[in-house]
Amino acid sequence: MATPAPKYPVVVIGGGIAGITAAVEAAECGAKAVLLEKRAHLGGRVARMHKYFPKLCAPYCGLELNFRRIRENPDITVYARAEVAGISGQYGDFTVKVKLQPEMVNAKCTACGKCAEACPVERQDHYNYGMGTTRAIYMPHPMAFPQWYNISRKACRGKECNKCVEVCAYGAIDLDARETVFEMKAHSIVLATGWDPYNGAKLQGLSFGVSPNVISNVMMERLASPEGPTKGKLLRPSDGKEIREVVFAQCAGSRDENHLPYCSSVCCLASLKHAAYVREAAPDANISIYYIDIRTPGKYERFYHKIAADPKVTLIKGKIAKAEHDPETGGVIVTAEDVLAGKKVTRRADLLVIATGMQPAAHNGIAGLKTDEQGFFADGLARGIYAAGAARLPQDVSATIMDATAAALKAVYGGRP
Amino acid sequence: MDKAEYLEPDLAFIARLKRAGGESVKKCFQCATCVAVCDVTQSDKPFPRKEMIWAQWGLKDKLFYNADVWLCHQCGDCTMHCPRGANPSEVLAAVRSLSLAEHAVPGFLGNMHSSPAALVPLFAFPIAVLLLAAMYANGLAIPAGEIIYSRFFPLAVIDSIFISAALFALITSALSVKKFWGGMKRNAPQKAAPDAAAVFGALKDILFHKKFAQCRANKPRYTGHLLVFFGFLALFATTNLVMLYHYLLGRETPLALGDPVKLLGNAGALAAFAGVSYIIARRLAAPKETGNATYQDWTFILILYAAIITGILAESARLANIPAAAYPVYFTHLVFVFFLIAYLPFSKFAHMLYRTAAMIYAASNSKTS
Repeated sequence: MATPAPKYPVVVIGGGIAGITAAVEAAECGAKAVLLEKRAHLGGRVARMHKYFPKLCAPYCGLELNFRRIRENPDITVYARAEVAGISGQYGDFTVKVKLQPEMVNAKCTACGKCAEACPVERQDHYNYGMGTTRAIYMPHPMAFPQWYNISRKACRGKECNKCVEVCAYGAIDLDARETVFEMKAHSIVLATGWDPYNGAKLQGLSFGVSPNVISNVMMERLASPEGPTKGKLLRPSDGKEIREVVFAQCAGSRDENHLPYCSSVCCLASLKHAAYVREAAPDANISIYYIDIRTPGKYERFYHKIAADPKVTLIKGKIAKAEHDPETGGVIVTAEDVLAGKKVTRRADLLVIATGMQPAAHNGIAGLKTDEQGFFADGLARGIYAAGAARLPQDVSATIMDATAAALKAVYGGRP
Repeated sequence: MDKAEYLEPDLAFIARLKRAGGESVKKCFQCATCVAVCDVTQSDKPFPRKEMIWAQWGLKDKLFYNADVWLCHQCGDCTMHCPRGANPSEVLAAVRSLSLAEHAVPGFLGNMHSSPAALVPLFAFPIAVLLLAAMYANGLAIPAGEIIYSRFFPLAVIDSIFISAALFALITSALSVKKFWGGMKRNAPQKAAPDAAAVFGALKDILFHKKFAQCRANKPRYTGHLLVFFGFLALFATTNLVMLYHYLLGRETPLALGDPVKLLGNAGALAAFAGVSYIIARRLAAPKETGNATYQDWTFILILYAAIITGILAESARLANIPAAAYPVYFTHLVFVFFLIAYLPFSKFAHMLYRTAAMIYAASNSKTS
């Protein structure tokens, strides 16, 4: 098609797998692309996985490839620490207002790490979902892109302390940096703001946030990761003891009109994948997965059968609706009905993983764009504005990549919303 | 399973159940959250998940002749946690409501108690009987002088009416429970006949309201039911003691206010009044926690309340010496009391029969398992 390249760039909001894909695909189609990420580094939720479907490789094998495509393509501009404050205009001529958080660490950073050694402040490690701590100046993980340190403005003591500035040999740190706001023109906009895990603390009775031995599925990814808080060792969070019993609670807050009324479509596979992590990290541990229905769509059925056939893995039909601290073992006692046996059962576990679902990221409300009642971006927003990935509906990485590619195509050519 | 089971869904029953308060039954998707959050259910073949699928499939016989439907105390914990709004607590309450008519012997009296129109003949009967009795005794005239209710209704008349009513209730109760018991045996053959331990265990649980105490969502009902239960027990004892006074000791009513039996009766009346008031207030103020009230629930609560209030008023009017008020109120009181006693196995009052039977049945069944 002999369409001239768009005058203005395709602006992609969100630097996770959906946003990265959309920006790269748009740029490789001949458009210019701008990628806005509110955190200091790209990769979003996918970067925080230990392994991901379909090939169960580490996410960086895919992300690295994309980062290279970004680095090598002069048509892609990345703004990290960037949030969108407003969108106006129409297809071919949008104006996007961008709020850039202070660039306290700039591109001169070589990631030598001297600053973090000097920093006296410890903060909770949000990247690892609160498991462990980092310094106020930190690199969330060794593969982070762009390779620069970031400063937690909440934790940093500022110029009074100044220790990081003193040790930085490259002049990369400026504690006086201020927030900047600027506007840019956009040909079209891709919304790839992603998802947040549902807050397990809202699930009454599951003791999430009460017992350290009750963790969510996203935390399990970090515990299994060699770059995670335990360097991939799977031990009981409360006391570091060996793990013998692991229980998974499926549909924790999903398909539940009191929480998320929909199925996120990924949690069953995630727990089956976690069972495989446990088999590697703690080969002697027994694994029980309590479910309503095991949902492994398409070709993943084979993976389900493989895990289900493992003698260390037991699948029990029946939802866990109660989990309490076990004073005797220090672990957790879960309660459910074993529906197929017709018995109410309790089981002691060293670790309970609650399979919480995906909800649209909290910042999906930008610029008053229309969302459905769950907060996912509605279809048919406007010509020139396209949502992609988990910001549109809960989906896995493969589906998200296809979705983002489709959104990029529409964004370049102005497809029907 | 040894052999395939042939299930026959009764669609008309499903429609009936929905009308009786179980309209949400089809929303259940069998996740079993209800069982996990229920503190009242037993562990072996627990409720209410299995009842929900029986109800969805219209398996009337399994539902009606099943102890578990009555072991449920409608705490509402399952309904509160249900992810689908299927309200298992309400569905089981609807099953119990339909059970009353199903088990009733004679059946027509059971059916009458589920229809508001039938209230007319149900009330007309005791009114007619008591009017005839009063006419026979004193020509319906309000006796002059000190208010003594036995001048209006001689004790022999009252006792013959109410002992007949009680005997009728006793016999029909026995027949109704027998029908229920037989059905339970058919559906879930007993491993052992109930022994003294099973009976006493069940009675102890009832007396101490052990199951009510395990409820969380509808915890306040424990207090309400306890007050009504012991209030009523005290009134029942009072009635029997008054009879003993009369026939054995020759002591006549009205008793002095300081008499221990009088004290017991007044304490019982006040407790029952407080309990029913609290139950009604809770039902009105917190309909979500207390759950849907069926027609039988409201008629029972209100007739019980009316009996208690007219009882208290009759005593007050007597003490205040207002004959024009006292005798008519007393008459009304007797009508309500007759309703409660004679129709016991057909009204919601019968929950005490079926729940007790179910608890004994379940206790004798779990013992050997």
